[in-house]
Amino acid sequence: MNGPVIRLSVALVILLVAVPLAIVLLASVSGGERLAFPPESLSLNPYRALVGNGEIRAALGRSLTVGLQVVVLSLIAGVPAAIALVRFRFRFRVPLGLFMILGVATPLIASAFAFLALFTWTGSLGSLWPISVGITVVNLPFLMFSVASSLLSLDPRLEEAAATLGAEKVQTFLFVTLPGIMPGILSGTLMVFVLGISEFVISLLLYTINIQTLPIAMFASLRGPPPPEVAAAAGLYVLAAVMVVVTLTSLKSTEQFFYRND
Amino acid sequence: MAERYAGLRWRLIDGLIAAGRILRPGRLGRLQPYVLLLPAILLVGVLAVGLVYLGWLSIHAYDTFLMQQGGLSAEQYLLLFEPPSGPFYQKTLARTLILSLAVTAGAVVLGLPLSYVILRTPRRALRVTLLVLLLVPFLMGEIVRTFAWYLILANRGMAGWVAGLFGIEDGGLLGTPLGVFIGMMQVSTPLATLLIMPAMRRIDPNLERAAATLGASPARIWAHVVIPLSWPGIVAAMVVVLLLNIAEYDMPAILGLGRLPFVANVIGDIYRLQQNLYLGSAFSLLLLVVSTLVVVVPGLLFLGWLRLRRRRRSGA
Repeated sequence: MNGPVIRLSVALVILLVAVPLAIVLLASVSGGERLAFPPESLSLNPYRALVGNGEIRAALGRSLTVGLQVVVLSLIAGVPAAIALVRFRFRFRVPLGLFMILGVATPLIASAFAFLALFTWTGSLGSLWPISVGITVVNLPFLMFSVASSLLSLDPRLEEAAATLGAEKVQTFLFVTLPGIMPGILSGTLMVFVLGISEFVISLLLYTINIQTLPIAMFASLRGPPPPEVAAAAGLYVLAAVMVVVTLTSLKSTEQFFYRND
Repeated sequence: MAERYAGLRWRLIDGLIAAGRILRPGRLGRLQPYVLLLPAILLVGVLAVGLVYLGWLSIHAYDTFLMQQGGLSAEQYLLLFEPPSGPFYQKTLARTLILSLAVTAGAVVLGLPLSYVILRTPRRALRVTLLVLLLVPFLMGEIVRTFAWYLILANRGMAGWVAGLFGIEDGGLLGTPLGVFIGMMQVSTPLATLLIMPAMRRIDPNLERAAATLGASPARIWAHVVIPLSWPGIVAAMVVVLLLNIAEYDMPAILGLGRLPFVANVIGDIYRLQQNLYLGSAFSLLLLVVSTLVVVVPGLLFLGWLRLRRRRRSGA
């Protein structure tokens, strides 16, 4: 059933998705003062400009810091939460599970404004931590789903067997549960990291002028003709996303999640 | 060297086990899951408290000149509907809803055949390539997607160059609703596809073969087998894609050249230009309520209807 309509729509989606990737990578290696298509020549000038531009470099550093803070917060909150929701039966399990996706169910700009109002009131704006907290709350479900799906595919009898053989709870967790859910933790961590370094709307409302993250700096420069270093930064984001996605698919968990031969 | 690390590792594990013996998590009994959930509840609680605080701010008057909070009043909500700026806010809300709905429809229409191909193709390479292509836009970030479409749609961009090859000279798509629509489709289509796939995966391929054997055309098979059995996935896709697009900021700001603001742009400006947290709170909550009404209520009603219909059929 590979009719022409299906083929046409698949081709259309590939164009829609792949052309922007190609154009960003091409722009990030183009020569000439201004970005144009087709580029006047090929060169690594945009990346050199990125390294040379102190402001953009500092913004990149801040984005990486935010990404790491988001990872730490997501791991501390997300892994135990996923274990509790999958492995325990308790009274408020369903409402608490729904509460966890509050950040996804609220329109992003409303969440961002809620953080803005709250952090203005408590006077905590001006550092990167509020931004990281906000980004963590809206992306936490991705890590939780990822950990939960590997927990669900882990046979509980393995843990029971370990307990029967005399392992203490801590040993069972360290040697059976943790290695079993490692692929889920890893893919969830990678996901919240790239989402954290590229997040825009929350940073837009919570940044102060001396703590611009890279997406904010890029947005500001798009008001006029974009300078080459922005193309290089965009190229880095595309490369990071591609690397993470390839890792995710080779981890098998993603493909298994969407495609099972059952 | 390696041995010393191994020793360290075992010492660490012994330490953890000793800590486990002292702390005895089992002692918590029924409280254990709540303790595990505590960090997450605290984090998400920040947002919950923030949303309640928005509600509190939005029902207060605010003196924009003295920048002082006044008494309880419905002033902020009335500002959204009364002249001078009311009509502009309403138009923005309408634009946001119409374009988001259009993108949602487009994403589902393209997502259906795509998820079908990913699920049914015998070629693993094609399946993996498509999956990678679908996940990348989602992870590259809103600003980079916008930048890419800016490069394509701008005056000296790729679209203009391609059009020039065919002898078409036009001003480009920047600043038009179509430009914003195309930009938003890049992440919406993959998202819709990924959400339709789990439902479509449960369809038995034999059903389609049976229909084909009985002489149904591909179009009839789609209308009577594939789409009806994919409804749960389609509804999920519509809900999530609509929620995502209703809060879109970058595409209207950059690709719309500021001429086609969405609600998110107006809320951003209310804060960045006027420093008015009160009006911004009211507008944010209005968007939250509208998105809940437009997205969640029809979604729930539809799922309820599906279940009712299934029960009736199995009863008949």
